[in-house]
Amino acid sequence: MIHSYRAMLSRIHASALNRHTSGKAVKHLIQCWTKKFEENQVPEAEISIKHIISSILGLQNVTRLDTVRNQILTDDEYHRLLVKTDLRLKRMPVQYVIGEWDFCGLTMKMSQSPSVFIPRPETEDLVSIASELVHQLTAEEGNLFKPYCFEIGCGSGAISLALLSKHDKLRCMAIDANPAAVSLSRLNSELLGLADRASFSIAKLEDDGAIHGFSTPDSIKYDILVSNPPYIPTGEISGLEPEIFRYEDHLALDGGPDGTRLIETIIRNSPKWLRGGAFIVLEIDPRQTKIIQLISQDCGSYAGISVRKDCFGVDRFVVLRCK
Amino acid sequence: MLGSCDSMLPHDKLDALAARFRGLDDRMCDPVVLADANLLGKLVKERSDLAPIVEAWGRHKDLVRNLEEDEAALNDPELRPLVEDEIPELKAKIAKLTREIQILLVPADPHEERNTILEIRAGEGGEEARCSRPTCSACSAATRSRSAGPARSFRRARRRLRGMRFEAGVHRVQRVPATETQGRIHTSTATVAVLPEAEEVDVVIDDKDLEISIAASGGPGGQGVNTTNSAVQIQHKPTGMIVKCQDERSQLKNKAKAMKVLRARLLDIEQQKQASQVSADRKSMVGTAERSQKIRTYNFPQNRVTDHRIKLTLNKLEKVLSGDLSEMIAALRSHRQAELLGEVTPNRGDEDDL
Repeated sequence: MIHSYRAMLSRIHASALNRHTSGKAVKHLIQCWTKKFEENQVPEAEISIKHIISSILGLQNVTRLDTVRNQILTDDEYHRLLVKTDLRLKRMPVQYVIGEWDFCGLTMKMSQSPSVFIPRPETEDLVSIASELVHQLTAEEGNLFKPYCFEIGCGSGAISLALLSKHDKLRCMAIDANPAAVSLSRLNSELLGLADRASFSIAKLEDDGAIHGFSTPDSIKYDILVSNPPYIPTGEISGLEPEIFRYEDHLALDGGPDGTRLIETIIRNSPKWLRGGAFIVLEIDPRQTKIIQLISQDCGSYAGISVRKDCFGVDRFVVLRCK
Repeated sequence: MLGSCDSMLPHDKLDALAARFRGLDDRMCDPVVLADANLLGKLVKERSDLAPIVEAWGRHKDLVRNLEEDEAALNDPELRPLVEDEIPELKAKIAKLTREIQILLVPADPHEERNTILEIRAGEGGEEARCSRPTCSACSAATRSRSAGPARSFRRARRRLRGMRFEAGVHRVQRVPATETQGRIHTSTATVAVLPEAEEVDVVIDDKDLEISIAASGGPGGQGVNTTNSAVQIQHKPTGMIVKCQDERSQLKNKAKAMKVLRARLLDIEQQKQASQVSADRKSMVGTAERSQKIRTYNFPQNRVTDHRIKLTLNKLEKVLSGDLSEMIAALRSHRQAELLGEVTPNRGDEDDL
């Protein structure tokens, strides 16, 4: 209520300064742009325009649009709308068009240029699983335990920051080969007030397990490793929808011939970075469960492996426990 | 000889209870059980609930065995004088014990231990009814610590009092009111409803009862899909209720919101159920508050109180009005036990009488 009241005040202020109204009402704009998006085969047409208009009006979420459906946009707002709808017509993902998205209840900035990977809904379930494991470790280690998490491929910082927001004593170290990802993660950690417990570094995980540009002292062994590594088979990249193919960072998507290249590297090399009894939680493609089980058995470093489903009921995560 | 006593008790059931009692003793020594405070507490309670009846059954068996031995000894001229006196004594003890066990077998009233709410309303008789309301002995007992206050037509009190359920019904007051100039006796009624205190309604939702679905794009999903739509639908299988939520940007938030709405709707249904149950209880208890259907009459000029259900008259109106219901309640209790054992037909009260 208060949020839309403030938004209303700022609009009144804005329109007092710029008395030109566009004459366009919210409900008509929704109708007309839904139609236009559909005509141009833009997927999720109605929800796309709703998110765009909500963002321009500074509303918290799309249901609030109902309360302002008769509101007329100012000229300035309308111009901003045209810029954004144009981008959406070109299939830019909504998350990039509005510059932010929510993950595990936290609002995070998104970056399109240079592009940083957009968090997926399934990955919220990875956070739930990892969070359970942090609780389990704390129960095993006692109340003074300060768990240390290592993330490979932080992107916008989503996973690490979500975990930090749920566990006061947790610290996170996260790396990404994309410098824009590291900048964005740092920005998001500042905006969310979590910067004191989060460290982000530019570093690349090589196939042989070396991490260039980064080193942890040998004395530090992490308690949990989390990752949503690129897992799409190279051959499938070109078949992805334009939202992803044209705009997202391919390095964050391409997992090699069968999509498991980085997953395998992580599984074979984690024992170097982790202490005994530590957990690994990885997001994967459901077709990869078999081969991943074989790889982890082959390593001989793991006491157990389990496969967990995501909110869509699909095999999406593997959890491993180090010996 | 023993037949008449024996057939009044369910041997198998009592033996089973005794076996369970011994089993509980064994279980309570198990270290696994000792480690679980909750389970231990339950077992301790069950054991203490069973103890009186199991102990009584044990004594009953001993007495019966003694009686059998004594009756066998009657044939022996030497032993006969020794046991002759004992036999009637044993029979009397057995009869008494049998009765006790029968009462122990009657299931306890679950409401007895709970807080009860007494609702007292003036019935027929207008102003006099309102004034006479405070004279209901139930009222006195319940509102002992309260001052009289202005005559209101409705009063509610909350107490944990045993035997209060016997107060439910229509009470008739016969007296000469202060305003009466010609000494006529006026009759008025007050109705008392006794309701167990409403427990806080809470809704427990079992995950197993829920069918949660999120619209998926098909295919392997994950990194290969970009979407802003994470609409969640939750179906509560027992009630068939469906809740959908899609406003939020996060599937977890949509799920949480949908659960919240589901819980609120189920709670609403529970609360309405409880409200209509209470209303039905109240109605069945007090009928229409006419001058008939009364359970008790307080006659001031004759200083007596009569409970029509058990046809008990006590010439101790003052005592009862000052809150001492013990004699009345004791009589009502044994009548109720007799009712439950099927020895008397239930008596709901009385039409015009006295």
